[in-house]
Amino acid sequence: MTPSALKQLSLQSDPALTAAYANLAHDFNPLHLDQDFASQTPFGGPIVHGSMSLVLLLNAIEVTFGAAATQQDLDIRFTAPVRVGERITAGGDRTDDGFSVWVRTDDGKDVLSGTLRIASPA
Amino acid sequence: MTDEAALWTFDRFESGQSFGTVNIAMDEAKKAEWVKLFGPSDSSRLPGGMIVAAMMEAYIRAIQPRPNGNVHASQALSFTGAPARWNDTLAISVFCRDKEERKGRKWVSFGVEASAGGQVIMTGTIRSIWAA
Repeated sequence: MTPSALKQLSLQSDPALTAAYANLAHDFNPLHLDQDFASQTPFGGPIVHGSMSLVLLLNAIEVTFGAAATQQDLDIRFTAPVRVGERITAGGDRTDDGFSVWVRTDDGKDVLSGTLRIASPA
Repeated sequence: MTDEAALWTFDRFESGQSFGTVNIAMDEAKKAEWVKLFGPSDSSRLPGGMIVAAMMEAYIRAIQPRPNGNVHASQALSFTGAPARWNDTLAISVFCRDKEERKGRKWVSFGVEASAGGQVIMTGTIRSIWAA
């Protein structure tokens, strides 16, 4: 039976976590890691890798449906930056043809939003 | 790739251009990095998030050198349902889908296709705002 919502997962970001993710994804963009560089950009300081929010969302999907083989389509936008130090939570709400998925900060800012369609939930 | 290689700027991208295939081993070292961030991976099955992190690694390794400050704006992913496991090596191909300059921003879409054991496990589109 399809649940009405995804199980939520949270992650507290900090510089060490961001550096660990940079290693995992081989993504050393100074926008995420270099205070001096990032402070010169419109973001005003280091931001969390967008794909780390996406990975958290995928983990929430797998916690909800299990790790069995599933055919699924995900289409998302990164709608706002996550400052390093912010805590994020990933989740999703069932819609007519899938889930409306999101990642948001503790103050309710959506940082990722999109749609998930699962062809064969476990 | 040498230090003298030309920087990948917006002007150099062309629709359909291939950046080759990057092989990334989902070995014990990679698993340890994953566990450090996201906790134990109980299943032998590779987490979808690990496939996404590997996709980012392939995208970054395939297109070098690149300007600082590119922004990952949006992402589409299709998981085929074919399994991948820890200790597999993922073969991830990267190509340019299209590019467009809009409101002074340089948008580039990159296609990716990840395979394990000869089977496609995921395809995707990375949409970036290129910095230079």
